[in-house]
Amino acid sequence: MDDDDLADAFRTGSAEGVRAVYERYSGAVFTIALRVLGDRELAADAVQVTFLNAWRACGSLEPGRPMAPWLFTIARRAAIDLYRRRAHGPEPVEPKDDATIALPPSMECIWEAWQIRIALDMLPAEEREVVRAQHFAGLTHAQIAQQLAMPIGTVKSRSHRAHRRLASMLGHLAEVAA
Amino acid sequence: MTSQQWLAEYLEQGARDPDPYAPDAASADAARRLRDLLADPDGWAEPPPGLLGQILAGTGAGTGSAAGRDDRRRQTRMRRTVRAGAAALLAAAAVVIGIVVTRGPATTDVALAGTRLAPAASATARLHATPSGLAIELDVSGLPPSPPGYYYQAWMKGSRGLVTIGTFHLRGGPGTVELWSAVTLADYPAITVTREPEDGNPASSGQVVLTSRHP
Repeated sequence: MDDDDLADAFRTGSAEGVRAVYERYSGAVFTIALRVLGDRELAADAVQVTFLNAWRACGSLEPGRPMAPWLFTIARRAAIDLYRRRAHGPEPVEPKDDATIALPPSMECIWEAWQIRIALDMLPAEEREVVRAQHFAGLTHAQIAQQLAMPIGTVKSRSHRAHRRLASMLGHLAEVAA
Repeated sequence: MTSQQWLAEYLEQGARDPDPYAPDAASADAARRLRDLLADPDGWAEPPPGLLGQILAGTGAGTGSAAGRDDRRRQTRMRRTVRAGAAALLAAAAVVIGIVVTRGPATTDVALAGTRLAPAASATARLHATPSGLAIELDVSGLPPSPPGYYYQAWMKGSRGLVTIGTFHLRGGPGTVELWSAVTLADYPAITVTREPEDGNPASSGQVVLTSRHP
């Protein structure tokens, strides 16, 4: 289902439409909520608020307009709102110090995290598995081959293909001309 | 080699020094940032199971008519009001439980795993509430001594921000590090250790070597 079909299904308000959009974008929404909030439970709340707000506002999603940036705006706002609500809670035990208290990440950082997560989720499952083992777990090709019980040549070819796809999808973030 | 081929190779294999194929310094910086983000646990985290069901229940999805949607919106508002009341009760209960846990004699163990910067490292943080604050014994293994000009710094992190809980170097070999915190695990649920340069900058370098956060 491409983005237009997804948006059409979402506009109907059907369970199938909501489910399809959730399956495509929930990972990316959760990633940016975690980056803003730094807490899994709050991030899960932000995901729920995001999809409910998006469902209520689906009439504002114009036909032909890309869904990802529209949903990103709703998700970022939901996470920042939760962050601010928490920030207005009781004062921390230690006085706030700008040097040690982290501010919410910038719009650019959140946007980068969003696009990277969407690119990762668009990889074929077998390539995503190799990229995850390589970057997140920090394994070498030989270690991945051992862990996934597959020939090292297969790991290398999947890694090669996956990184070419990622470079193609994320090149604009690195200011690299295609 | 095209710029895109260079980026693919960089993301897969990392930097060569010097890199004759890097398009320019800005692209090299951006590519390094992308590679760091690929290793970020947040970028691989999955929302908890069951969340879709809650969202579907919130939308009342299943029928598509406008009248049906208006009904669903009214139901959603009612559910939200009920949930807000329930959430307030739960929050009050959580505060009471938090105080009991903080003041009680219980010890809490938190496991930390090494990141891509220190894949062989692991640690257990044993937290014990005292009248002066939270006493933390960090039992570290697999983390090399910090090199000259660098040290390790431990942090507690929550939605309110980041609070440092001490620094160490491990140059005497692996072992237990004693740390202290004036904030609680309930408010700052993530514990991390970063590698810091001795450059006089008190802010975190962001080079996380151990983390309690899991995807």
